[in-house]
Amino acid sequence: MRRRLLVLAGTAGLLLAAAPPAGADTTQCSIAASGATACAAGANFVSYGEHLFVSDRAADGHSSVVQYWLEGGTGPFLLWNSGGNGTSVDHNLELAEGSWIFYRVCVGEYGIRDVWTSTCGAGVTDYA
Amino acid sequence: MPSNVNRRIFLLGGLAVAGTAAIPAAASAQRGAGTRAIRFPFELGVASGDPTPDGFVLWTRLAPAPLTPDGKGGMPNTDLPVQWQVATDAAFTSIAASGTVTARAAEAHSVHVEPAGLAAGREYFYRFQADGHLSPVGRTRTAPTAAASQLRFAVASCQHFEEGWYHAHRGIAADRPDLVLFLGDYMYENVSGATEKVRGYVLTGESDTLAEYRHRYAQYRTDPDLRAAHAAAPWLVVFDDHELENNWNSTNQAAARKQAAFQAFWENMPLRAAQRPSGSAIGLHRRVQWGSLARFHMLDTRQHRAVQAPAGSCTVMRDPARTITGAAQEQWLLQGFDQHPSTWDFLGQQVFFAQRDADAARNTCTDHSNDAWDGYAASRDRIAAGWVQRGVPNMVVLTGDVHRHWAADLRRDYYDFTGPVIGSELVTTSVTSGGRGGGAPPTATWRANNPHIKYVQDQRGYVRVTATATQLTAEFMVVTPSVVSPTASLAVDRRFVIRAGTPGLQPA
Repeated sequence: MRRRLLVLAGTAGLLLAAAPPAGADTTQCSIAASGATACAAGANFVSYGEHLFVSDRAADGHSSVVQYWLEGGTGPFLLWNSGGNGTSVDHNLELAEGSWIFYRVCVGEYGIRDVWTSTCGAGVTDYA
Repeated sequence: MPSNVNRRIFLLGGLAVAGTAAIPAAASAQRGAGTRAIRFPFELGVASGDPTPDGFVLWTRLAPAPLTPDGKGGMPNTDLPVQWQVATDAAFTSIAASGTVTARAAEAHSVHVEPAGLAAGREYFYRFQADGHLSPVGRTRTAPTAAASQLRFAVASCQHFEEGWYHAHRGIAADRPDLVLFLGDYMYENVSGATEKVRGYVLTGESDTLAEYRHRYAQYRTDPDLRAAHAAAPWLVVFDDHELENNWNSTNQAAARKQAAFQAFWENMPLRAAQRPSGSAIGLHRRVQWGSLARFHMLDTRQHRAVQAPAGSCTVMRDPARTITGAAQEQWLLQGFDQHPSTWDFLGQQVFFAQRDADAARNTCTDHSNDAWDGYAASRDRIAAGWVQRGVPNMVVLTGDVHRHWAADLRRDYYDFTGPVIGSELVTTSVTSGGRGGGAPPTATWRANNPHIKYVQDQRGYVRVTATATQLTAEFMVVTPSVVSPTASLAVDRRFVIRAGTPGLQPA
């Protein structure tokens, strides 16, 4: 969703609208657990255009996966990268302007859609 | 984000948002713009509760990032002033009360405001402002002082977040009742693990610390239908077991865990300062008077109860030394029965009150629930005798816990099928807990052995009650096709009436 610049007038007086402060783009790592090294999976959220990049950073034979939740009481939704070490997948989301997203990245097995929850990073909130 | 505002951020001109004293006239929730200390902090909505003839309690909790794992909701470790307003109209052109309160980091930036001096028996609207952001508008009302033509309220319980969508809350919000009673299991502390889930927890382990309880309440409040139901009417809330741990009692919880659970409950509910916990204790039982029409006795059957009886032990279940309310609460309740200020008396409480005995044999208890009033039969007998002997005119017990709708008549002796009816019990099913439902109904033999039980239904929903000076109507609302469907409808599954002065449920 594109940011908007609005000029409105209303009962409270002249309303000048401006682009909201973008969420500071955030980066996340998975954590070390049995069978996975620290930061074997990575993720990066870019508020402008709501892109979630999921990266695979370890030649371990496993996939990277993001779990995310949205402000309507929904989630976790899953975003995978099964492309192997050194790859990054751009997931272009459609989020409401100004809304929040909470996400974390984990190691998983794409074939059986199994998220290794013990590898999930703490997670972070960002904003569209 | 509030549903009544576009997902845009407005920069308001002038004093309206620049200062901290005034709240702009526009009624819709709005995000403050520019460089602010915090983002829109009203993601958990607003709520009100416990009305009196001249006031109520208003609640919000600041949490711009509700799912932050530390339970702080994305707030800094500093206190923040919050402005509040009460108006007689939704546009806030007629302000009846206003002020500023401090949202303290030590209380998860929750605020509990108790405006007083308002007019009795009327509707009000309220909102908050923090750091230039405007909250959604809530609707509430004061209690009447005298006769009211009718009282409409909803009864709900048991809303496991993972097991379904909150269609029941959507229905409650649409009803715009005078009151909502929530009778426990607002939040489930246990590990994620339902066999069929429509959504999942962020923190999947069992909640047993203050941070984890706070986080789980926040995740529940991310549901827009739950927020809408809170914003639609004042609530009367009590907890049951899952706000702390499954089937807990007065003997089996560490003080530290009780303190954490009670603190989080207080922080997340529209409760008055009188209910603020002190260490590992909370004074939850209280009365709410609704003019000459109704009186609610809100009970705590968890905090002071004796340990559950061994399964099947009639001797222990009937031991008069055991209690489900604790001696002090029992005396408080019985003393309250000495006065009869209203047509209807409601016990708002947690667990099944009427007897359920599959074989109707007085000498066996293997079929009795040791966690419900059946497991504390002497306690039940004392309270039932208390309202009968003191002449309480029309008693109705309101119950949650069991994830099914039930309607029952109450007797002093349930083995005497022809004995007098002394009141009725309306048991609300769960909002979501139990998921699809559809369990087998009781057998014909079971029904024959429990003739006081008039209705059972294993579907999700809530109970809608309308009380007048002459009659009470109870509508058992159900969600169809089920709460695991993102779209569903609500319908009346069964309707009963109780006529004032004539105890007992009548089909309607």
